[in-house]
Amino acid sequence: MGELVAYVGSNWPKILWLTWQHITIVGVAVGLAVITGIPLGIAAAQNRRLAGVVLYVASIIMTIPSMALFGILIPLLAVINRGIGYVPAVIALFLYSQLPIISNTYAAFRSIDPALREAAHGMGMTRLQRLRFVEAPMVIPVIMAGVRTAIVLNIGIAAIAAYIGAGGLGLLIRSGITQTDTRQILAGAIAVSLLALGADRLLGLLQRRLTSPGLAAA
Amino acid sequence: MIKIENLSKVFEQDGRRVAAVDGVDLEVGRGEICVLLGPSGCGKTTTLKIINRLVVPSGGRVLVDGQDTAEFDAITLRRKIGYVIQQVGLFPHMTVEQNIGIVPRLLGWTPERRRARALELLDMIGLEPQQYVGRYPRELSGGQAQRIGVARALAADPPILLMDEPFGALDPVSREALQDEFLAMQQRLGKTIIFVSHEIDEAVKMADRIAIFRSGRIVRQGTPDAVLSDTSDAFVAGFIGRDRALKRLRRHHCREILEPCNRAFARGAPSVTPEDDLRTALSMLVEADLDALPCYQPDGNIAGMVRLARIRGLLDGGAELEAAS
Repeated sequence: MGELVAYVGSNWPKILWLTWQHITIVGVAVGLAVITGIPLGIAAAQNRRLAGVVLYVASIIMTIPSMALFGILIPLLAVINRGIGYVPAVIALFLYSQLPIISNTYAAFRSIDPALREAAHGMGMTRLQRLRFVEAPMVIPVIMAGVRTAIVLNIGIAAIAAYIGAGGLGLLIRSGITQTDTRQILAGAIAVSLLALGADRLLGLLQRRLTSPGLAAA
Repeated sequence: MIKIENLSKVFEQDGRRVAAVDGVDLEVGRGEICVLLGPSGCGKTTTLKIINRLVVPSGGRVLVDGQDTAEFDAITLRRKIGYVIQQVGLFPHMTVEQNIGIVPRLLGWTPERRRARALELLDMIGLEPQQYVGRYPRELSGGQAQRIGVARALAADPPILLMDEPFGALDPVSREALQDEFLAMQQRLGKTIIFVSHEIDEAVKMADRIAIFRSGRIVRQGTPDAVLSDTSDAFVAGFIGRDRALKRLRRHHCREILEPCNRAFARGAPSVTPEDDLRTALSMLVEADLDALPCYQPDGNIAGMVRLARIRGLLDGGAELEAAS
């Protein structure tokens, strides 16, 4: 324990830097996934057949073990000379983010009571006003929950991306294993856990801020 | 106020053309409650939705104050027509105040004015304003939610109200209460109301005018009294039921047939007040096996008497007798 504290004490600039790397990988991947996943989820909510295909594919991606996915991406991206490092890591995390984001977006839009749409329509709201006053306040908390899941999930998976040279806190764990250095393994593992817990906490607060008290579970 | 001319709506269903509304003509005067009555799938709701252009008609037109609604912008039109649905459709993420204020908000009212209006309407529908203004829909009972649904429709003071089975989802006790409150409110507001219902009792109670629908057509229309006394059509007669005499009597009150009291009634005998309806009076006459009841003012003074023969005579009077309520 004392050794761990000493290690962190003398290596904190490195740990901070790796944490920052970790956050960037996850942030960029989930950010991109939000941009693609929300429109896909909305489209799926309007079209039953599309919903079947999109959710099926997203679920299959989810079942691929992360090591295997990195393995698949290496030869594919090697074509453009990006087989290892940051790019495959971001792509893998991007793919893993699709299911929580798409399925939550889909479910959020599908769960809006048709009576609310009819009421909104009947009182003279335009398409845009219905989105702003009725749909958005109801779907944003649910979509936010999907983004939160994706981020927490990917903070864990990103640790493994160190094996394909993407950097991040996984690097500490990896070098700790190769050097049989428990301090590094623990420092890396604890940092990843704290990061995941912190992100979950922070996003949970944000999610609550975005949820109307009228929608909170009774 | 509202005039519907030769309205029709044809839907495509499994490649077949189905006429949901088929040549409907209807006129509703200012301040009237017109009930569209009929079994489900008879075209009454479709007709209602054509009026605020949620459904585009296949033929015919709807005139409001002589102007064809097809010439209005649909959004502007809808903001001038209050709309109440059976499922209420209060927005769960908005407070009562925000729900009531939503159409005014669309119309650009200031927050202060919207709040004042919400408080005014809550008071009118009999909910303590300060207690309810900040509540969310999930904190309301079914009856309270529907009252607020009505308040929301009234918020921007539209001259016309469309109501699609507004009290249909409530238990019988709350429904009766809401109907009574609504009629009392309408006495003051004088809105022009089109009200969809599948219940003859509700129609008789609420309507100034009833239009009975069957397979997209109006098979009979007129005052409740006229519709109830008409037995020429088997469908209409079946829909009304064989107790139609009782249904008619509910619309009439003792004051209409009072006669000077020319006999002595026993002290403590059954009695009525001028505002009791004749169905109640008849029930009491039958129960006590009498041919007349004394009628007292609420202050205890004798107002006259109600004779069984006069009730019978009123029923024979038929369609030309207007409900005086």
